[in-house]
Amino acid sequence: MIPLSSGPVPASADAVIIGGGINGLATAYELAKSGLKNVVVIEKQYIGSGSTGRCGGGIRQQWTTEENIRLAQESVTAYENMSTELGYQVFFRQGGYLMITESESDLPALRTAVTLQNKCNVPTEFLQPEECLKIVPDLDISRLKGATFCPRDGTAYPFAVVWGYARACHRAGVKIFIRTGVQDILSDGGRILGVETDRGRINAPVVVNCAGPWARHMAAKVGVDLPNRQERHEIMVSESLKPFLDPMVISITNGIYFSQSLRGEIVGGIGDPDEPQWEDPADFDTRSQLRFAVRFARALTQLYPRAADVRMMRQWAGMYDVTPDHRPILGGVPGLQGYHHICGFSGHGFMLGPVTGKRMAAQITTGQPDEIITSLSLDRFEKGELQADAFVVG
Amino acid sequence: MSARSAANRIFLCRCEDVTLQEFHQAYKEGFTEMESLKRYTGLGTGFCQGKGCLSEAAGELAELRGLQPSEIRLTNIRPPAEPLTFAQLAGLDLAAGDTDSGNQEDGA
Repeated sequence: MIPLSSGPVPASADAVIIGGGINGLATAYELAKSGLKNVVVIEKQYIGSGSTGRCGGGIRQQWTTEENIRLAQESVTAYENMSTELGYQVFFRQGGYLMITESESDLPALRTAVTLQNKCNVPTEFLQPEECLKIVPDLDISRLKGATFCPRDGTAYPFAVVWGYARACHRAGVKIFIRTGVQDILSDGGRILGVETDRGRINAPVVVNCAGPWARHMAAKVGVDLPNRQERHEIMVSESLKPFLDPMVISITNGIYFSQSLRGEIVGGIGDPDEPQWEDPADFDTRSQLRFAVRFARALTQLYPRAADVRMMRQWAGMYDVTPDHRPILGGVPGLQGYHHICGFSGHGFMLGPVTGKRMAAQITTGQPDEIITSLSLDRFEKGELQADAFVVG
Repeated sequence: MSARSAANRIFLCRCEDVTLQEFHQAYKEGFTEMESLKRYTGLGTGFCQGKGCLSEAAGELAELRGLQPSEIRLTNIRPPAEPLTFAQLAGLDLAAGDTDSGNQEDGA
């Protein structure tokens, strides 16, 4: 992997990808794999420096809409094969996801979700609180009302995933420029002409906007108005412990989630109803807040009292790129040939990126509309065909 | 002892046992910034949170890249300054205290 941080960019390319996170790199890799010769990735900071490298690394199939379940299912298969596919260890581990609730009124929805997931061949089961102890022995189940568990969900190390994609991209001839900003997307007469970067102009007939929380700002450069809003979310890591926790534990009651990494750390976060949002990317404030550390520590020690004496090592924050229905926005826009976006993952880009990159690359190279991309295109908000998923957590 | 085996006995990060040789290897593999070197090698992620190794590592990286140490961008410093237990954190009174943890961020 040799990301370039100096020198001029090539004068022309078959496709320019904006953003060196999971979506940009997976798409670049798949485009190169399907035969595109000159693919260039432009990353403003370093590989994985945006939302990908700040995420919790979870990959789950427990959703409440069939489309989300099927996408996530495809993604789990992609993660199962990823270390082999990329020739790089990405530390994918299937310890399962245990989704818990403290509210009786959630139980019908949990049972309905299990039925739908089982119909899609996702092996989720409904658990009574005491059955959770077989999966996480020291969980405090006194307030739990029920849970669902899918043993094939899991976690991967986000940086290893983007490094693996970057290396595979490099082998496939993709050029990756880091520390390089995109100043403008160029178009004329309804066609994409390329991008203007800090290191010069690249003429290209295809531009893919994978800029995560900066995607709305990028899209605006060619007059595309995305409804995404950008929200701060925080997360932390503890000291390393011997293996004690198989699954990701996630509460649909208060939005806490935590898992144990292969280095032994507890990695976890908690949603906050008061997370700030900013219109202008220049205002994004990803400094950590003590409020998060305290709220997380309270929720963790309540649910898992044995963690009380474990030390928190670091906390950090990242941005979610959130859409009105919490589902990604994929595809192009009418009247602007060559422009594509892969954004709006609402906190789930890491778990869906390998699949959306593959489907988008296929649609871009073959011109054949993909069924799922079509249903997740930007015009759904005008048509009012929204299908929100009930399990948006964290 | 050859220079190579000596480099494998010099610990750059004593908390996470990262040797000078591993640091050089990571650089060769394309990790040319402190942020990426930290995440690839684990350097600076142990109990001292980089207080004992980051400036040393930055000096080493400056030499590898032919730059002045002052030209090397260090990693973002993450709170807390010292590791705290979840019990200690859970006991803090948010209403009474300052909610800004005072960290730097985020030139990245």
